[in-house]
Amino acid sequence: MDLGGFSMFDLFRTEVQQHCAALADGLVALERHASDPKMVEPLMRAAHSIKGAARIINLDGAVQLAHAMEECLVRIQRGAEVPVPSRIDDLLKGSDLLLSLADRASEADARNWLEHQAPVIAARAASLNQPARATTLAPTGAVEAPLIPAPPQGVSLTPAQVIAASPSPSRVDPTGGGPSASTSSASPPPTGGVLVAAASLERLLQLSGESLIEARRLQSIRRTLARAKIAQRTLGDALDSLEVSGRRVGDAKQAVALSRSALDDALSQVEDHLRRGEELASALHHEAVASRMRPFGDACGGLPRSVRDLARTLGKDVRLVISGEQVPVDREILRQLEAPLGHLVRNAIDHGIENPRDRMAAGKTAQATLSVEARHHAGSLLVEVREDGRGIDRDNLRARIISKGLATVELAAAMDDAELFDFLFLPGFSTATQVTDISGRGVGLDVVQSMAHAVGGSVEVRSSGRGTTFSLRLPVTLSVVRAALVSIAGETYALALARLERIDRIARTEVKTIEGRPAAIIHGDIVGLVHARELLELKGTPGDDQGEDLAIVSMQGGGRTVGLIVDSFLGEEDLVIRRLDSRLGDVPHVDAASIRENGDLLLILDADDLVQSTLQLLEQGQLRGESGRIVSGARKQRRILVVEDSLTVREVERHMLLRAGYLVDTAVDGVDGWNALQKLKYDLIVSDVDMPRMTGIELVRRVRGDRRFESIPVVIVSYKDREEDRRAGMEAGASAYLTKGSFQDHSFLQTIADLVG
Amino acid sequence: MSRLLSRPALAATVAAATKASAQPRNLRREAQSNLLLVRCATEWFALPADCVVHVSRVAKVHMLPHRTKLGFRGMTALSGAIVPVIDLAALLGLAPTDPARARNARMVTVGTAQAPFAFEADEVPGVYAIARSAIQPLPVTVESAPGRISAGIVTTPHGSASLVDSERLFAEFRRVLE
Repeated sequence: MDLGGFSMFDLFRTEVQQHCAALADGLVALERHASDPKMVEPLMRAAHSIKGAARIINLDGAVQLAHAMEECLVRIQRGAEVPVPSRIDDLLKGSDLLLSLADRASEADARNWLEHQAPVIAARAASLNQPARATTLAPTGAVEAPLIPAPPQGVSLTPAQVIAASPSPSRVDPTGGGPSASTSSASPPPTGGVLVAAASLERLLQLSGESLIEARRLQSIRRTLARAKIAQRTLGDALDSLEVSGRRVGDAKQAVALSRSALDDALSQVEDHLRRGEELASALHHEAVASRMRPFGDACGGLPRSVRDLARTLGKDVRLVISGEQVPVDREILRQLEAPLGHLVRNAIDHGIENPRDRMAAGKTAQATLSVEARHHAGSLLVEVREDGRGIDRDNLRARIISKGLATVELAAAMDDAELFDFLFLPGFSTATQVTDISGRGVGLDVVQSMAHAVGGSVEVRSSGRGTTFSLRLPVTLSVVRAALVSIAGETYALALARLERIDRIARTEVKTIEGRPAAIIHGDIVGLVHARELLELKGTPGDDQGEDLAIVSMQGGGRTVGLIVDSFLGEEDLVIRRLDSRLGDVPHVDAASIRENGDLLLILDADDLVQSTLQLLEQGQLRGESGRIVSGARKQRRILVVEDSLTVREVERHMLLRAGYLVDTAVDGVDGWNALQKLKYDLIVSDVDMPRMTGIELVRRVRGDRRFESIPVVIVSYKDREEDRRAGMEAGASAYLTKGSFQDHSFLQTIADLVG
Repeated sequence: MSRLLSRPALAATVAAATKASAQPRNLRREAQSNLLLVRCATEWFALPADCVVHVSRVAKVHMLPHRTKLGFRGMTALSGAIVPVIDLAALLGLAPTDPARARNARMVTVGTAQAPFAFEADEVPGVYAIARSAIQPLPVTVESAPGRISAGIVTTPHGSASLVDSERLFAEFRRVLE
């Protein structure tokens, strides 16, 4: 049996987790709305399924417990018993036991655990098997030992509203709370999902990205065909202009016409194929990226239960409304969101929401509403936890800030809401005077904030006498990042835009030194500057930093700003984030990698890390190297254009010239080179001879024939070393003719040095 | 268009193939190893075919900040995977590549799909079946050298080549990554 890399116990675990989540939600709803037998059915099915799953791997204790739960639910459904809170507690605790069992690392562990817990499990099963107690016989559903000042039953909401107030939950509610769901006896599993190994999903993402790149490679075939079509038309025109006639000429014309239509066909087919291939591949890629997304509701699974338990403990009456359960969220964010969300909810019930008596006195309904909402807003995921409680007591907060010595009385008095509320997120800062078991367990709101910051998001608090709202603004996905692309030491790097303050181009003359360290005034702020190449230890590769302007990326970290000097800006792009090879261990300053549409790799830098290590290195006095050079603006560098169709030779030439201190641009053939000449001023051209589209000889002729370029020296470097080849090059106007062997004996660099002076 | 591994046949190759075809068939089938032959700088290496993930065209290599260990070139993207690139010639202390002869250069990915390494070979003529009995021992000077990657010497149509011990090769590569 192929389990797709999962063990039987893995499958058992998943199944138990799924059914227990449904049980928790359903039981809480059932408690609210005792009289509907239809609501019990899905719960019975859940208990029954767990029993079956436990039986398959022979976990007898679990079988007994699940059986007792199922029997108890059957009695409730028949009306033989009323789901009073203590009974719901019994069932919830039973489900907790099953969950702890499923949490064991392996099947052997689980057996061990069952053995140890046998008495507990037996007791739980026995208590479940005990039929209706005297106090539970009250037919009205009146609450046993009411902790909540019972709201009038008529005010109570239907379970569907309590659990999911989203307008159209397309997900089948696992509680069977919705009338439509509970009428169907064989409802599908909650999410219709299947288990896929994470590694396999990751590979799928890789391959889909690659297929997109491959699809785009057809472009070059299309271009070749388009060139052939132009050449063919020229041929046809030439033939037409011939003033001869005869059978052979007629044949030739006919052949030309035939080949023209064949070419047209081929070109349109290739274009069609290219378009469809690209659409298909990009749809596949999009889907693969989207497969990382899970509905927000997945993070809310435990909320109804914990709200119910906590409200019961604290004697508060809370209605939980979850909306936006279908909003897609990156599964990694969802995983990290679970704890902070739970904390915010606990915090709201413990500190925000008043007890029913106080609420009534304040003119509010006895039942408080706690809403958890997710939605996409302006490209971010917005998660809000909102209650209609008493609001944050600002005077109390000020007093605590002062008593903890965090600010003076005057300063605290002058703080606005945003500044005040910021203190709530300080580690160890709690507004409750008593540390409670619920929200004061050493984990505070700082956990919420650090989670948000860790994924590049933020938290905001709004509060009034009518309630408090915590808003988390998070990236929708961790797999795609909008980044600024920069060139450092001739290679491409990216910086997440969310982490950048600004990107500027400033004149070199605007850079001053302060105690020998470079700084610039950018939009009124004095920003210390550091060379990206120096920071990243990319030495020995002089970059394009000797121009008139400096490209500066200002980054903030820990409240301090540092300006990173890069070679140039390349633009903005959405990048699919890929992890760097784990075998490399920790690579300082590098967060991740990404593969661009052209198939090239780039590295994504970690802005926080860059700022921090800049400050560290400065303290240690290790960052001085290039500061002088930034200011003095060393002598003008020569710019050379390398025109060469072989990637290898091109790279060899580029590196040799870079190392010799030149600025180097490359072009892949004569046409590309000719275009490059129109854009920038070059001091010298290095060209191959044999190239597609336009040969080196043709390029030299064009350069010499153009007044703008005629004085630029051109060095031809070719494999052809026959005398006639050399003569052809020199006759076209080349300044020097070298063979590729010249790389070995320095004559290449010597010749260039001689020519540019 | 030329195929990935195709290149002009050497006269010696043709002669050897002709000679081999003309030989009477050896009826007792010998145990053979399939070896991918690669040239790195001036030396030939024979890699057990089962440790080769794929051979592809040369891709751009991106330097990795702070990683300047001898033999490490950086990272590249191959078939959608992000792969570390090793400079085998530098690692073995071979003379640097002659760029004029680099037209046949290929990226060779070895290891496993989960833990791949790539290196640039100057020439990859293809896979050859070599009789196991024809593997000769290493000269003693190589045998006792630290960090050796070879297990023996084989004779190929391109001359003699070092038979690479894949475990030793990966151990060296892993050391470079650390």
